[in-house]
Amino acid sequence: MTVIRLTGLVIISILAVPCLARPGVISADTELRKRPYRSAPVVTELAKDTRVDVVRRQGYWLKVKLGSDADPSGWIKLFNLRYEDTPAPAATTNSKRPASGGFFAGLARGATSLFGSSSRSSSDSHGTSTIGIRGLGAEDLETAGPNPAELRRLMRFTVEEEEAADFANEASLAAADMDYLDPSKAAASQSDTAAGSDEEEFQ
Amino acid sequence: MKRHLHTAALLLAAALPLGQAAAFELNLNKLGAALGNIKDATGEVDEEREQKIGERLSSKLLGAAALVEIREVQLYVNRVGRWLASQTERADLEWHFGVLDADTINAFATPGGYVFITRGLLLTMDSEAELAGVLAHEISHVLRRHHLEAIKTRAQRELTLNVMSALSDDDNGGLMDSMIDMGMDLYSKGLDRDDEYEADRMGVVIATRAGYEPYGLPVSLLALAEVNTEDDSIALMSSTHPPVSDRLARLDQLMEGKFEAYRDRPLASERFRAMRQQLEKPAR
Repeated sequence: MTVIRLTGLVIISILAVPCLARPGVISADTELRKRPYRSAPVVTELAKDTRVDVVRRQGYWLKVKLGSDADPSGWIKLFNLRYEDTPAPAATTNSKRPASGGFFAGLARGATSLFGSSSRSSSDSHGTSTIGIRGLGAEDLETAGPNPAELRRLMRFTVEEEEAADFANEASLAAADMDYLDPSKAAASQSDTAAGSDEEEFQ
Repeated sequence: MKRHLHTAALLLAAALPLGQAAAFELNLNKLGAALGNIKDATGEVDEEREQKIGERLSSKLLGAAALVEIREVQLYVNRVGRWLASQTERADLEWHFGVLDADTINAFATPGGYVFITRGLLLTMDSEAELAGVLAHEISHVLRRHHLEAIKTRAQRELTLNVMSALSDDDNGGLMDSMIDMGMDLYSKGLDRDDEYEADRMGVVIATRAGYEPYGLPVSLLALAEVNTEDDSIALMSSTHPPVSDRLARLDQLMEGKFEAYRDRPLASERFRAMRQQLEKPAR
């Protein structure tokens, strides 16, 4: 088990928490809608590469805000957003944004709030603070020996099919029939992506 | 000349006493048998053998990271996983699911029906639908025997050339060890990218069949896209999978229009959050 080393960058990321807005980029031209339904009125058109802040998600839809508080907010489809892989420098982000905790839920919690995008790469791990975080890296896998005791423990948690069905029932999960997706269908639509981007409405 | 031959014969006799000559012959027989074994081992693998390979790989994965010590969390993930597996063509396998005590973001599957997810990955999620999407992706690797096929391909290529290593044990144990090493290698080097895309597109269908809101997997991927790919917490997952943006783009194109009817299906967030609270408690 290796220990992941995080440098003083952790401190920087903690300081950055108050402006928790998740900046994202529109990945394909799309409409900003007033409500999370495809028939909802269009607030405005959003061009590819427009920067937005994600407030929360509801099913297939993300609530986003544009620039300042005066600008409109609305809903876009999940797939029309990309988070930026590399965070923009703090100086270029809008610091007047209100803190919006809890959007994209799990992100604000647990491991990710430590590893969040504002912490950048921690690969330059000389010195400073080392936090006791349990990593599982390539070397751990390469050097691992068998652990039969833990394997026996795993077996003790095995669940039978009927128990799982009851558990599903408790959350009103009803099984549905659906065929696997045909990848050749995607290849066809991939070739006319550019042309199809204007008529992306669901049927 | 005659004299030289005579000397050579004497030298040979000295070098190879009767017993050793016999041993040499035996080795040739073993070599033939080992080549046959490689062919057998890398041909059709029955379910029992697949199970055996999965068990050994799982034992090693658990050697790299133990299970989280919270029984309720382990049972929760097994219930979700077993329900998903029941919606597939290999519902009859004995499926096992485990939460690994690691903050790194990753998930693994082994042949035979073993699926592991790290605590770090679980903590990035906010609903059972997301967990279902990720588990269904891993289940798909088992359904399509992705790891098994990758091991077989590599074994055929490498072991036949390097057959002496397969001779190290009498009953084929050396060969099995080599295959396990190759399997472990897959977890640090990754599967073929097409296998990952296939597991994505099967995963969303399996989660939908199980009655969940269908966007759990893409939502979880979108959350991962936020973590810097070079960060220690996600470096291994990033280096062993296609870029998240590619995976999302492919899912988008495949899912468009086909899943709208299911969008009001449950996310089962409440019980997921209750489980996650237990997971967030400091270790005892």
